[in-house]
Amino acid sequence: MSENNPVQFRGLRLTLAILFAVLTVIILLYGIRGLVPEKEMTQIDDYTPWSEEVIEVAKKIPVQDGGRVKPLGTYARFKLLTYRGDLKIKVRDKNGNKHNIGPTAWLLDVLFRPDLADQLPTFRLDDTDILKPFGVKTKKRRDRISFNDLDKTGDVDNRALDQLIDRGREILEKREEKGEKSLTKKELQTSRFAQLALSFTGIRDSLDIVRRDLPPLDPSSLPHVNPSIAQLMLDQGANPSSFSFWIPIMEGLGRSLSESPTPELNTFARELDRRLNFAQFGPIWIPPQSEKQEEWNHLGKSVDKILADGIGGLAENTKEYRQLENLVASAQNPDSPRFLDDLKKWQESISQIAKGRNEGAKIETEIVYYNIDYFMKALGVFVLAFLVSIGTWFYGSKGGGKSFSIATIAAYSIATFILAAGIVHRIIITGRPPVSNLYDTIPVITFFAVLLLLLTDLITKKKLFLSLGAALGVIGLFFTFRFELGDAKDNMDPLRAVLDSNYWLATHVITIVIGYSGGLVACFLSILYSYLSLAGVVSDPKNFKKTMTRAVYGILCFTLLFSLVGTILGGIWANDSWGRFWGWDPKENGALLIVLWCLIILHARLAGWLKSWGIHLMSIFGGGVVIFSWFGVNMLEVGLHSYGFTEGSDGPMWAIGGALAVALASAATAWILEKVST
Amino acid sequence: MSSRKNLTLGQKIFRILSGYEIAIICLILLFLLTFFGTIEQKWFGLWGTIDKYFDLKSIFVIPTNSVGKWIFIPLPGAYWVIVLLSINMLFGGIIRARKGWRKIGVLISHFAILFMLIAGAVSSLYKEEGHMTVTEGRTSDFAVKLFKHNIEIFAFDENGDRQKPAIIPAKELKSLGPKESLTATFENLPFSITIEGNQPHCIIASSKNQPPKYNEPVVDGFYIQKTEKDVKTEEFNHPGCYATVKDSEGNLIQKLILGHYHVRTEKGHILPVVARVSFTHKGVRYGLSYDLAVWPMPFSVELHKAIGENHPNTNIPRWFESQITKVDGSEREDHQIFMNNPARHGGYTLYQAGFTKAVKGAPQKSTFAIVNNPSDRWPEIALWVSFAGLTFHFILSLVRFINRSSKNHKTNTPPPTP
Repeated sequence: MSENNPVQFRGLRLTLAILFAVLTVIILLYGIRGLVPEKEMTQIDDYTPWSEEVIEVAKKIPVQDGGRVKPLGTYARFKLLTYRGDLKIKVRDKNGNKHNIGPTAWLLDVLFRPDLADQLPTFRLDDTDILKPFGVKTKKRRDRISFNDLDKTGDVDNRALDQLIDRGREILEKREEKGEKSLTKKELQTSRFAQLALSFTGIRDSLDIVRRDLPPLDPSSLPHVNPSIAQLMLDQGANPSSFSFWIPIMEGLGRSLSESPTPELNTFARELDRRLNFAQFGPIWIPPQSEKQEEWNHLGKSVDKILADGIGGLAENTKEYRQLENLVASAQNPDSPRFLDDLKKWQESISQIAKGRNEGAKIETEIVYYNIDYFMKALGVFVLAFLVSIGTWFYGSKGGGKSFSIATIAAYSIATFILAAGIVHRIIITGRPPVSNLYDTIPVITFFAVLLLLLTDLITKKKLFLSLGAALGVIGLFFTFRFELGDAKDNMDPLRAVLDSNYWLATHVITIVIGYSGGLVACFLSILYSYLSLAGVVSDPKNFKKTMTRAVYGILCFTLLFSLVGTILGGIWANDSWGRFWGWDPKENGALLIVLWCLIILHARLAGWLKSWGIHLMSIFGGGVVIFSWFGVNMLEVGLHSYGFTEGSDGPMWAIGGALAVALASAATAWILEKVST
Repeated sequence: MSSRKNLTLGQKIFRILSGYEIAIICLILLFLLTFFGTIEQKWFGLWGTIDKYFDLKSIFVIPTNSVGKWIFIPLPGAYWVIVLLSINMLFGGIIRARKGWRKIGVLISHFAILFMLIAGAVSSLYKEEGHMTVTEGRTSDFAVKLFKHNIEIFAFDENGDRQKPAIIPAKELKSLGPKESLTATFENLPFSITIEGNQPHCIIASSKNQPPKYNEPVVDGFYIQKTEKDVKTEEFNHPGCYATVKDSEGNLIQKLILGHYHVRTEKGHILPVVARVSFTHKGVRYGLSYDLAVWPMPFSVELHKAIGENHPNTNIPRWFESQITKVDGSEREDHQIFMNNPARHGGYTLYQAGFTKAVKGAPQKSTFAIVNNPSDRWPEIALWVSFAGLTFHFILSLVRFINRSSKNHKTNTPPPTP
């Protein structure tokens, strides 16, 4: 039977193709099962949502975090991702109303309504067994728990939370003494979770200092407090149960405590000390008074500075505390216009100071960026493009097929444009090429891959490439979304000095990621070819084989060019930074592996060792080489390229490896069947 | 054209060496070596793996993991594979390759890659590197070589100043095993020194505080305690040994112990400090140390200002910079060294490698990596040449492909659809 008629074994072919495809789906689903957040509904009877207006105002409050001034909305986003691995919490109130709590609303709850926030399932645990020693009960091994689950379990004097933090401390001491290798996996998980719980407690209690419920203490009973200042404060309407009242007389308070302590004063001082301690956590949102000083302050740190500076700048320094006290007080009625008003005042006053310091200029555009959610929107349009492109498979390029073809190109172009717009928007916010960390590279590689397939379509006039491009767009952007959830890092934060070079990022890294795109596109084309050939659904197999093999080979040449140039550029950068061109560092080796693999394919083809199927098999394996270079080497956690380390990605990596192994098997099977048929 | 049978031995060898087969085998081997040489870094660190896979001395390697489970057939050392690949590229990719304007791109890129590999070979043979630490407002004219420890023996003059040292070089010490011994004599010194029990990673321990576990010899209450090799940070591995000093008649003058010992700082950190030991012979005091080899520079560096900034409220470095003047005889040259911007001068390149943040009242210090590499800029030349060659070749191929495709498109039936 000729190559043009692959109908032989049609039933077997279809069955095998379906089997391989199902197996791939099972492997991939199994591998990413931990990455998909489970949707659960939590019953919180008293929950009332924040108004949209409140959330929008809150988002805009400038905070300093990760080395830059950013919107509170972004700070909240990555805090919630760190604790929960998700961007939404679903709750139902006593009336059965469902509420979706986003990051900013969650942070508002944590800061202003801690009693409600304590009930939210904020923490995600992959292995709840680590909590068993502390008596915390959970439903599943991978589960979400609330702060109350830790705080309300155990005796008052020996809460699960305290036990957890103590245990975490012990583990850290062990690590200090015997090194990280001495710790078991469970110990590592316990230590990390203890740190998370502690940092959450810090944020939750950071505003305690400005809650107006300090223990009662009469300032006139303190011998070392200047009575005229205290009286002045009282006359100005300051409340002795609030912290701001005590700031100007703090020195006298301290002296009274050391020289004439009373039980009331001791109680007051203990509570004040506790609150000041926690005030050193939470958002860093007090701008410094001095223009020269770059570091913004926590509430607690700011108090230290006030005390250190004396009471000279009292009026200026206490202003923020008074504002926050008002805000915390009005938050008791979150629906009231007063709260919104106080929140606006706070946001405007901090924004004004930031503006005066030339900081936070990108806050508005950053909020727009996250509100638009480009990559999710592009993903939706790529899904549409893929679905429409299916029509072109059946109708060809005439009649109805032409309409499908135009619709596919339109949807594909729109999706690509939205993706590009998202990337450009990130460039505008960060002021650097969008390839400075692993997260950034995912949408960029997706963009180049879909662009490459669009070009391939224009050259070969085959809409099949657009179908594949749309599918790649969906996969790439889904991965972008999931990676952000797992990574939980604000990748727009400034770079460490050695990486902060727009020239090298724009040349070396962009070239390398274009090379990655090429390798992945070639791999996907070969996988597609293998499955279609195995299924025997191609009408003109000979021509199809020729086209696909040429396309794959061409793209592999493209991959070689960019990978080679990118790798050498990386060497030149390394030579300028570290004094050596090549250091056999894992990231460098990863790039070299792609170059070597492409060279093997090119030379083996020239030597006649590889024909069509050989090229496709090698190209599928090459996809694995690209994934290893892109992500795998980061899992080794060694080398100088420390910006790219990933942790806990073993599952997805093995799944991708498994899926590629199945694709290789399907290609080999198709090849064998073709041989048998001829 | 001569047939295969009529080829001389030289021609046969040339054909084999220039063939695709050798190229493909070398590329596959290099791929495997790079892959295993990457994976193994997880367990054995960067330096250990480079030594094992990519060093000139590495003839064969067997990939292993942390528990030594992967036993494959031995692979040839990467260095030698690259040598063979370079020969193949010269013979096959340049000399034997078909010439013509269509192949010019491939020829150029082969030439460029070969040039880059030669640059690598030159670098591995002749490159010298070290570190120089300079305090703000001070000058330095020497560096210490990275990972190269030698033993210095020097006499003190009557003022207590060190005289020019005699040296037992790092090269000889590195290959000296713990059970081997090495006796060194020097023209200007009236004694010989025998080195024994040389350990590549160890500390000098007190037998009183930590009694020897393995019967190690004790000298004046101290002994060489072997430590676990730090595979991730080679700088943390300090060698040590026992030294026996004898006069020309073979009489024992002194037994000494050389290496590093640990001191605890006020903050509780443990710091390794080199042991500087001394003895007196015939009225002259002599000193010995087993430390990083000193590398005298043909110029001196004046550090005027060192700047190191972190991003606010983080420990992430944002900017580091050193303002220096290089003094070479009567020549003075100002340089600003910052990230990705080294200072190059007379074949030496200075990079900002480290920075000591000022403690209150103390001056800042800058550490420079100094490299003397004859092939420093060759890879850059190779890059642009190979880029030009490959781009020309692939664009040419693409144009031909598009022309063929459009021709087929015009003449053929509608394109196949799945």
